[in-house]
Amino acid sequence: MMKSLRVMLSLIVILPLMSGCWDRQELNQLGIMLGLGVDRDGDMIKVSAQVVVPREVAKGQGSNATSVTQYQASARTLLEAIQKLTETSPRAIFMAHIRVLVFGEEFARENGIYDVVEALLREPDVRPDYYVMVARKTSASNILNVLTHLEDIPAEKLFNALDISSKSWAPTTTVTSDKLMQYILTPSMSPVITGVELIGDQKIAGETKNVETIKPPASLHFSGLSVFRKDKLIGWLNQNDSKGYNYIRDNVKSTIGPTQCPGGGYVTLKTLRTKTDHKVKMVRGEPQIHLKVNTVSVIGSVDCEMEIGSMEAIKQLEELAQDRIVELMKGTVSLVRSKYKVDIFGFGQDIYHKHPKIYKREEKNWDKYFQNLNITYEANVQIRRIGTLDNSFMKKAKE
Amino acid sequence: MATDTQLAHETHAIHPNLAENIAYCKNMMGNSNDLMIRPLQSLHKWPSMLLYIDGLVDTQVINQAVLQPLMQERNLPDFSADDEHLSYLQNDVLTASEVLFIDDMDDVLKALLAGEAILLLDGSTRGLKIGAAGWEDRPVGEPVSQTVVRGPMEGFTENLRTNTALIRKRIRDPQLWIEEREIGRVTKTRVAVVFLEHTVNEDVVDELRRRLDEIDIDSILESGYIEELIQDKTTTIFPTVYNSERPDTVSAALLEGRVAIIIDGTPFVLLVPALFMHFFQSPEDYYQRADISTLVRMLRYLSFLIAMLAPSFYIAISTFHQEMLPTTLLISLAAQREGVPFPAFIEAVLMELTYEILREAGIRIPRTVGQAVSIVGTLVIGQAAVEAGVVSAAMVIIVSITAISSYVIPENGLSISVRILRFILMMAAAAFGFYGILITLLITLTHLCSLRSFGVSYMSPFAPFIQNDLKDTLFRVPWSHMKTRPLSNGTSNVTRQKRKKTKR
Repeated sequence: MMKSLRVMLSLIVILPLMSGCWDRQELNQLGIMLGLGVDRDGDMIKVSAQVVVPREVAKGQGSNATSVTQYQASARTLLEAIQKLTETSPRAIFMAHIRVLVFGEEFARENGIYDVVEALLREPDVRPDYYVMVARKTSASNILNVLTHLEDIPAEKLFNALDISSKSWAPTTTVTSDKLMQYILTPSMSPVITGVELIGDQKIAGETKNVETIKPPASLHFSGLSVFRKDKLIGWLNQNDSKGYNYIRDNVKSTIGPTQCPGGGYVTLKTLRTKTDHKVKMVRGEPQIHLKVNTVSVIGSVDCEMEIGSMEAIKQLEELAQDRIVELMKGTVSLVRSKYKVDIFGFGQDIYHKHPKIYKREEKNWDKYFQNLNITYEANVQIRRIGTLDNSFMKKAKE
Repeated sequence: MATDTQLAHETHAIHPNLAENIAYCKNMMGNSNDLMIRPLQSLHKWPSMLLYIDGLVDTQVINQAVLQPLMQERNLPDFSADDEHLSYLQNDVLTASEVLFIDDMDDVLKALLAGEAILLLDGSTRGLKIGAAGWEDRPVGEPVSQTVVRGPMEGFTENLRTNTALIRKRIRDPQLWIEEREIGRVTKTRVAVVFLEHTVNEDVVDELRRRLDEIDIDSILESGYIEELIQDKTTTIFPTVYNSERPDTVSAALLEGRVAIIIDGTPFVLLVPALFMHFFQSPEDYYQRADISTLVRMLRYLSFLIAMLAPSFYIAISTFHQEMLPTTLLISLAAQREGVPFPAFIEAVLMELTYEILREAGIRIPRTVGQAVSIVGTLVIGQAAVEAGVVSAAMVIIVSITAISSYVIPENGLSISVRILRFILMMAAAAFGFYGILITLLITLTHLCSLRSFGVSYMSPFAPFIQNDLKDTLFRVPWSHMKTRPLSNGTSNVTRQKRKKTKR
């Protein structure tokens, strides 16, 4: 008994000392990196890390300095560059909490994003739930050099803004790194990543001046989707094409879309929920994709002289909206077919799930097969409510 | 006084000569001033001595039931046999309730010290022991340590007899047996073993008797002595004997087939066997509605975990597993830790120690200065330490929630073990993070499962799993569903309610 007690006691005393508390990092020894930008620097990779300055984020004790700082380093590989950041940073860069990973457009076009995505996925303490974006017409380091309103930390603002807009605005979508990897690795599929653009005065974007005015001189915007072939950027989709893409991929949760009235003007439809089904049919031995969009909408505003108070009018509006959605999807598909020649819609996967044999046959040159794939479209829009007003008073107001 | 214990082994018969006896008593008690010796002529005929200890006897009884009848003049019958006049006094004269013969001087001393009065007659080798015990006692009051909002407000007192009466009042059953014995060579403390004959597990009682009889100690001043002497021999930081100062708690335990040990001189009554889950039961659980009792119980288990784990979790997360925190929380914690000079572990130990010191001081601080000290405690140590940047605000929150949670556990014994365990866990967390916490918890759990209290598995009804007993552990089912007594106690009488459905 005494002996075991003695052993226990000595263990208790010695163990904490022996271990040296390996891996121990106090919170105030961490440089918490929230945004990671990757750019091209000759034949090297330039990383720009947006690191939080905790003292500035805390209420009350902050001075007027910025709440984040940016460290940059160039090296041959990503991890080497990140490690090299300690040349300038007083703290070890802590990567677990990356919120956004931004690729410079040039880097994405020339180098390809695969190496970076893999390196980050391999890293055990990095959570794979960050969003990936592409800096449009600029470098990633510029994107991470913009101070923003409301959110103190720009990376957090990018994350939240993309998150909220993907839920309520059809042209944007989110990609996390694990999903992105999946897309890159699927032979019949090419990834699509949201682009982010810096609009305004680049020079003062990173100064506190940028958040001292109501209208910030420089701000970040999500603009369209970038299309990749495997891991290299090949082009951009504009807003309408992005919408079409998201409708096809069933990424739309809710959105707002104007529908042209028969007599000119617009009726705005608020989409409450929408769902896209992909069906694969065999037509004369060849697979055919049938896209069906089911949407429940309400009327948001009526900016035309249409009488919406009758069932016929609603029917008519529904049909117009359906046509619009079908047009959007058709437009996107034909653009992608003619311009980029890659399957970004995952049709290959649909066929693979239904007719694996046919897919296997065509897998090698899927993108060519995609060009001639037969696709049919159907949209079903239901207008549930018309808001708290009946017919528009526009006529009376104008008289 | 090594000699008097030796003398006690020889027998000293009562000497016919009164003066001898008095001298013996005075000698043995070293002329203590509270030994009262009252010479008198019993019934105006026999020279005699009344001895008692002042303060231990009820003077009312001495006056009215002893002295008054003895001082009367009576027509006495003839006494043929030698000691017949003693029997006459016992049977016809003395009106006190308890009058017994006594023939040994050591018994005389013992009886005197137990608060009885002794009447010795000249020329007789026997005396009379008259029950007149009565001393100042605290009245039955509200229990201090285990308060309830709803439920009886009576608590045990320091008097063993009052305490047995408090239980008898609640359980009017002839099968409620009370066994008394004296433990402590010097203090000769009365210890009563109380159980319900028809529900108790005989083995537990036998084991308890054996362990009590084995005790060889000079003094028993509180039930803590007995608790440590009779508990199972395994070294553990967990209490394996329950204590309560509430008669209703004790009665309920008796009705579940447990055994109570009442010790004279303390309001804290021991209960065996004590299982882990007993420490989460409050008497109020049974007086309130079942639904709220169940909720409160779960809350207690939760606070048990918080009190045990909160600081170590904080240490582990903030020094090893930062990736587990939500980003915003991480940043705000990091902001608080800016400029704190110590590692999280040192910080936590510092704060926990401060709290333990405050707590220990709080018990002893005179009430008049208590307020000043509590201001110093809260303001200086809490707020000022954070503002000075010595500790982070989050740590103060953690320590506070830990401290408060530890008081949710209804019985003090378990919160003490939690306090000890907390420090061990903090060390494990500082060295190995969650891995260390997990290992420590596993060891603790294995240890708990191997513990026994009077032959009953400490973790039952969880391990071994007894489904029927779960009704009163994590949950407290309505009384209409409490059909059986807990099986884990090994009760010999399981039925609490006949399984007949009554229509309402």
